[in-house]
Amino acid sequence: MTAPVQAEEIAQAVRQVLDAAVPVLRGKAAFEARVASRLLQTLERELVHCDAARQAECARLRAMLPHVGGDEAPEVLRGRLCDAIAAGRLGLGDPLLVAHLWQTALAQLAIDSPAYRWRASPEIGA
Amino acid sequence: MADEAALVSAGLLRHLHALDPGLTAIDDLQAVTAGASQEIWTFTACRGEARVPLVLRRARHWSEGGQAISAGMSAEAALLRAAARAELPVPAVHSELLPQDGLGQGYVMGRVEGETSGHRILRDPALATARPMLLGQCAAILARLHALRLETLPRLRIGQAREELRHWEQAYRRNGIARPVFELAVRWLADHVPRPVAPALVHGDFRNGNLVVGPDGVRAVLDWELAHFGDPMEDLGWFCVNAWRFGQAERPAGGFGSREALFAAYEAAGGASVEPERVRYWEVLGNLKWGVSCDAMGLAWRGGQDRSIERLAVGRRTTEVEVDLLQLLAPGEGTP
Repeated sequence: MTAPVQAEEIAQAVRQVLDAAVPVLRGKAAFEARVASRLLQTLERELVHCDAARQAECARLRAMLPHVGGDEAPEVLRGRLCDAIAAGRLGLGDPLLVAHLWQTALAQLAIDSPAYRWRASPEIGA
Repeated sequence: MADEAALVSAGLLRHLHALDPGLTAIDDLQAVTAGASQEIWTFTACRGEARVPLVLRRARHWSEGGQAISAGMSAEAALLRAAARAELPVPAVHSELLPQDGLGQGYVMGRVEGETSGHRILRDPALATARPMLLGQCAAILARLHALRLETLPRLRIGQAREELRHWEQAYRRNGIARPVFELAVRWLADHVPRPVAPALVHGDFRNGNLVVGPDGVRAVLDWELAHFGDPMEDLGWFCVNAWRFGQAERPAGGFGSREALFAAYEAAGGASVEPERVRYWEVLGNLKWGVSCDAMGLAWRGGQDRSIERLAVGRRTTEVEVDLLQLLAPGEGTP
């Protein structure tokens, strides 16, 4: 058994139409179509990876924050974490916090800007 | 919008014709991608056979916070004139807009030919001869800019380390998007505020991406909108923000070279003795500024102030800044 048309398939098909249109567009329209195409790539990655990333993020947040409900939205939990950092209850000296922030940011970067170079890489050809 | 272009064209003709009755037409008017608080239009002024390439900069404000820190159009024009007198590479101010021109606030300046894309400046084979010179030239420009005597300049706002942190923390909170990494950065910055220094001119947005570069090197420094009086180390820190390295992560200074090389060149060109820890404060704050601005742009799309797709797209670049801040404040944790 297989699935009906998926959201990421819609995004991919729309992106292909945009990419085909770019060569026949000029000036601002061409520029904006390219931006739109890249955003659709972001959307495709989000549709594939977002759920797992959010679940992992929330699990880590619940482990770090006291007295959290089991079903609070990620934005609410993030707000609670912000409060804890602003109040000085958690900070750079907490390895769990630092590891969490790195894992969350890198997971989101894989969705938003997977090609972003944030460190000098030692790999050949980088 | 075709209507807006027609209005701008008519206004420019009115404005320039009043100064030069020999002017016959405005040609090739084009809107360059608009920033949050100013518009830039390029055009050609025709006087018979003669064609003069010019640029119009005028104000548009959809960001309250942006308005608070902008120098203002007439201060910007006055600053460009002062910089030109001091022989800094800047576009020449042609004329300032008047109310009767019907174009709002702004000014017309000469167009400097060359490459402005930070990405292409670092990669275009045609600029291979320029690239080795850019770090030294940028350092020397900054050293001279910072040495300008304030009494020769229009009066700009004063912003030192503490005020700038307060402004950007407030801007972050005003956005209303919870960013634990930003909270961490705000705490670190609050714990590392450098003492105020004798105020100097600070460009405020000096970076790869705001330069005009030719095979001969830097031809002009653009975008003086955020200029203010404050700590010159702010310009060095901003120059090293990872976003402005356009992929050359291993060359922190604008994608051109190392921080150490930038500081050495700055001092060799007569700049003040560089304090690396003070520059580090400004580099961290610079990242926070850029990240808060990215979120603000995404919110401007949501709120309807600016419905261009570029604005929305930039809203997803905040994640890059979170990683850059973590790399500065807690490096080494990112290895998978």
